[in-house]
Amino acid sequence: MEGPTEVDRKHEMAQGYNAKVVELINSILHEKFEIPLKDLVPSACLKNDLKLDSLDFVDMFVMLEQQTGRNVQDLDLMSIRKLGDIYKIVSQLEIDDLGSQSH
Amino acid sequence: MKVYVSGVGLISSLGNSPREVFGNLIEGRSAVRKMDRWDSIGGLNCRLGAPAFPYDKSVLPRSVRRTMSPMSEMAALAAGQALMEAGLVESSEGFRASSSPVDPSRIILILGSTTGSPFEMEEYFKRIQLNNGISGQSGTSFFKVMNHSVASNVAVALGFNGAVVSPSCACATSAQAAVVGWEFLKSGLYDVAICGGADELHYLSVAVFDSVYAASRRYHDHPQIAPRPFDVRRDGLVVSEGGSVLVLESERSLQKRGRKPQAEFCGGAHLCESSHMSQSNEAQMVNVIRLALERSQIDRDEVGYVNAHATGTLQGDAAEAGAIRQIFGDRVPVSSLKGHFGHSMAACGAAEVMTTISMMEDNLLIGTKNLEEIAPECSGVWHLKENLQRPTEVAISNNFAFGGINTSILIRKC
Repeated sequence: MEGPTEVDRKHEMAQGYNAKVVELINSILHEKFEIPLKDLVPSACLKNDLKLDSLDFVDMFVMLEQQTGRNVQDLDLMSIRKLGDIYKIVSQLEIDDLGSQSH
Repeated sequence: MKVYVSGVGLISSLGNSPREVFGNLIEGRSAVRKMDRWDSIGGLNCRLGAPAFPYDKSVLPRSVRRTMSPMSEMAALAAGQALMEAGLVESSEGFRASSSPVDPSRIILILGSTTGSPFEMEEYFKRIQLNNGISGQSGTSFFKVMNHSVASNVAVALGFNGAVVSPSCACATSAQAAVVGWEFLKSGLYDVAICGGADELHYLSVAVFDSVYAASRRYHDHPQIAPRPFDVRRDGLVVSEGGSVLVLESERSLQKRGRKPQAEFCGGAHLCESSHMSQSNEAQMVNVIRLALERSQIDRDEVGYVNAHATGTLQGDAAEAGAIRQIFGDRVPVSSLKGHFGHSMAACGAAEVMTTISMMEDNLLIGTKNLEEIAPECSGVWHLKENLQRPTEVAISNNFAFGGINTSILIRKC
């Protein structure tokens, strides 16, 4: 099971995603939610493809808050449908130093 | 209409199946060890515990495992074993109404625990202190700490949409679940009752007993000589953990399915002893044993073995020995399994019923581990200090709990 390739990364950057954000979210989804890395593509539907539901969303955003030290509650979470939507709204936080807030 | 045990499942400190456990009981093994990680817990005098055998929780899908604490994991795995053995599921993947050989509306699931998960409760309140509020709480926390966590999580794991009841009466929980299951089957409203309980080993559970001087504190240098049911040098219980499930089934349903039962569940009783919240009462223990005999239509002279609750406490063991003495005198072999297992609280009742069935199947009664010198106040009954080869047709299993909940169950060999 291989993760996204360099081509994928360039594609993510082109779509305006912060590469560190993508790496962090993928890490959480793989390690905590046991989703294979190969399935973690921006077009993946959270519900149908990744089998995540509302309980998982709560835990994912709690983990993101812990990792970034930022409050994500104010983001437009209700608009999220695809993995790329999460990459996009978390990238808006302009996070530079990911992981330093983890506890 | 008779009721039978058609399947059993067990995750415990002595093994992860009833057969594995029975092998370790025959060998006289102890699950008790020193819990070094508790050395830093201020005020905790008992630092002995009997943790469960390692078990593979990855067989449970993440979507159900995410809301489970260890007690629900153990209960779900035990339920899977029991239902497989009863022939009610075709694989450990769970119960599906479309393939159930019994109408799901005639199946009731009765599982409980002493409390919700103490591990999750500790984490929950730590996060409140850390964050000065409720931010940072997981969306799955509540489902681990709610009172019916074990019952609901097992139902979700099984894909079970029938009736679910969640009794909670500490150390008699799974025994009461079984008695209530028997009552439901006798009512004729159900054909199958999936009954049991689970608890997890956490220092908060030990603290409950420790604070009332009911947990062992003298044997930290030699953990495996504690606890000591009925022994003159007993000094309290040792907390364990596990999940245990009995499948009870009506005679009619078994005949319809062409299944052979493991044992007859002759009946049982549960009564409250209301004079004191924590102290055992011999007279009320006598009452519950007598009522269980009466409801099972079994004469006391038919009983060939008593599986005692005896946890190794000063007061509880003496009261139970007195009750057994009043009813059975010294004519019936008596033993407790707490010296091997420790005390798995909500799980112990069903675990001891299935272990008693194993004893009757193998014509081998397991003696009380660590019973070297019978305490004078526990004398007058036939204590088994060693295993005894002896055919047994009928046995009784007792369990007693804080809060005054007393239970007694009668089992007949098939």
